[in-house]
Amino acid sequence: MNAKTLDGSEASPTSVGSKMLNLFASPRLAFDEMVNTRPNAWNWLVPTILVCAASVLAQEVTVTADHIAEVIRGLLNSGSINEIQATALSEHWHPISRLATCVAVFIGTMWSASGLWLIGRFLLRRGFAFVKALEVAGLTSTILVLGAVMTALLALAVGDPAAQPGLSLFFSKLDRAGPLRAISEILNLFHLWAASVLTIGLARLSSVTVFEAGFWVFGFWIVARIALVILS
Amino acid sequence: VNRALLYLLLALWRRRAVRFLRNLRRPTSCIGSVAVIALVGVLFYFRQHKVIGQLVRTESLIGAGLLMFFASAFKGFFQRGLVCEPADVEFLFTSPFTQRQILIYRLMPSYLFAALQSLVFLALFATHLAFPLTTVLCLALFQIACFHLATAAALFAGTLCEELHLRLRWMMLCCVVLVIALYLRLAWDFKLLPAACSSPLIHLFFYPAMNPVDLANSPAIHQWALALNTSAAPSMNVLARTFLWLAGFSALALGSLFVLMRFKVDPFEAALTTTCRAAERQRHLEQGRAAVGTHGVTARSLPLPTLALFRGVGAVIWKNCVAARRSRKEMMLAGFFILTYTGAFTALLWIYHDMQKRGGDAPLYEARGFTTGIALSLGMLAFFLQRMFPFDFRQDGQHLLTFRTLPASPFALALAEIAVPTTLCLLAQSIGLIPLIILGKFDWPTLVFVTLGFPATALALNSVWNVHYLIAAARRMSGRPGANSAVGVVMVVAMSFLVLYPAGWTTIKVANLFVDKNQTLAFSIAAGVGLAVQYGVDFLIIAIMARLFQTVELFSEG
Repeated sequence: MNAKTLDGSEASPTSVGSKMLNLFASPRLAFDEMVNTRPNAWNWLVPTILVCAASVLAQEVTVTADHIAEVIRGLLNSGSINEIQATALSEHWHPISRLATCVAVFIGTMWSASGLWLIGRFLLRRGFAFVKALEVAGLTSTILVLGAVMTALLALAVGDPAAQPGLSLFFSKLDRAGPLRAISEILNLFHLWAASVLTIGLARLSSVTVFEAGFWVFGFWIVARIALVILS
Repeated sequence: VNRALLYLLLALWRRRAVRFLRNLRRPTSCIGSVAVIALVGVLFYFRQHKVIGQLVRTESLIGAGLLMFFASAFKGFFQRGLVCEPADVEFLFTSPFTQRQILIYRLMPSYLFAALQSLVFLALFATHLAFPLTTVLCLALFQIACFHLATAAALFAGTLCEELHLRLRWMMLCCVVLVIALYLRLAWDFKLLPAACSSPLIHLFFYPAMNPVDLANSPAIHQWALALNTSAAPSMNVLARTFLWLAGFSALALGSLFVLMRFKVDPFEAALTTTCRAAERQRHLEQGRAAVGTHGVTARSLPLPTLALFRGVGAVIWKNCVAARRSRKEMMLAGFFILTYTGAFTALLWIYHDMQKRGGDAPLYEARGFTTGIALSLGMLAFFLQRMFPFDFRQDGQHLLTFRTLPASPFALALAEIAVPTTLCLLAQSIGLIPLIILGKFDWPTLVFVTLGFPATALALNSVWNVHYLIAAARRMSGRPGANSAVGVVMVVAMSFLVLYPAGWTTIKVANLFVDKNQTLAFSIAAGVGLAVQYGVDFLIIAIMARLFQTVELFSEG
């Protein structure tokens, strides 16, 4: 089934690249088209692969040998690892990180799609196909591509690998393990953007108001995360 | 508020106060009121105690405030519109009052409640507060605000469609859970989340609102990868074995499913019969009647025996005997239980007896104590058998109205009804009592006490269960809930013990009076008095049962 234009005529579906670009300019249009067309695996697969690539690239730029050495020294001092293990870690740090990044992106996409589907099915009481939720989650992660590039550039500009485009930029002197710093890291510009786009996607999928969808999306993806920091 | 509405309100309050005072004649209302007054009285008496002071700590007050706030919001939201009296709808809503006047009229009782509750709060907690008057005024105003919130929520929820109302309820519930968790953490330092929630891996659940690079570079991931690398070789064997086990059982499950799917039998016809039978059984159990037996089997009619016992009201005893005879399955189950129970105690007695033969006699007081303990355990058998022998009112639900027309006194009929289960209980106890008399060490007063005590106990327990059944049947027939609830059963069990309390208490008191003079005499007199009290209690319960049978509103149970 093709998407319908405003005058009612059938329009041919746009390409994945166009959808990804539309997501930045007008997410509502992108999701409208996606909701009204047949499921297409490329809609979520391409953005996810791009996020993997951008995240690996950002990691290569931001995670330096000094940073790795500092982390390993901390583990050694705390007695968590011995010298042999420390050597092995320093040797395999980058490959493990790359693999973990890619696995995390794929698992994260699946999980966020499941979260959207469950919210829609049980809390909003609107049934929609899981694959549509997967497409929404995958397409939304396109924002992470831009986020990874921006974060890498910011880290290089500031000279701090932990620098992020969010509230934490103003609290760089705070203890990283402290709750205030952790909360400021959650209030990242790209995270809020991603949550907003997910909200629109969920609203289009389940045909509810943006307010209602936003309550659940922001409630889980932002507020619950802050609550987790405070409660733990 | 409008003066006319104020007058109406005062008149209604006066009428309610009079009705409340009249209702105090009812035992339940009276007990409830006395319980509340007693609770307030106890709190007032101990108002200086530090435990009471803990109740008005800042943390406690914040918690109570949150509870009131959310409870008000939920109450109003679930109400979906204002709850009014039918007369209000008929007269007030059509009268020339503004909406605001009617709202204030509906809120006035709540304001009064807030004022009274604040006064009670002041009386109880004034000594623990730095600014009692200010606190109490704030409490009253906060309560009033909560009432306003509840009303607003009710009005708002009344305008929503069912589906949206349901969804908003979930939203509110999540907000409440979050606030409660935060309150417990911040006010009481109570951690609801396990330590695993602090792990960086948890952030994966919030993708795409997280940075995968941060996650991939967390030390935990690398340590885990390191551990996996070092332990991979030896665990391969374990993994292979685990895989084989899982594969084997998966094949079994899938294979059995395949065989099941290949069945060519129509499952619906058999399911229909089974479902009907199960539903019928459930209905009978809910009504407190015996589960239905096999359908289509007509029992052979039995003639009334010529024995005088079964003439007149004794026919009811014969009917219950026949019912017991036809309940073969239940009787076999009960028989198995009785034999197991009494057999265990007989075995204990035999072991004791055998040990005495080999190692010499134990001291007499010890042997008598052991025997008395076994006798008491046999007495307990009557408690366990109550549900197994329901051949009394409990199986006569559909005949109760007919029984009222019989030319017999209610007392005699009640006695006849409980005769069969009581006799069956006594027969069961006698199975254990015979070896006890042969192998145990009894003095004559104890033997007499046991022989007369068992019937008194069995009679009391059967009467209590029948009283409960009659009350429950009346409640059920009048459509009131909780007729056969778990709480009801617990109450009956508690009552079963309580009916033995007066006799036990009297026995101990009388024994204490004579214990210094002669122990045997003290025991004999105490046991005699105790037995008399127990039979008196039994008489009372049977009289209550007869009265209930005669007066309670019962309808035919089909």
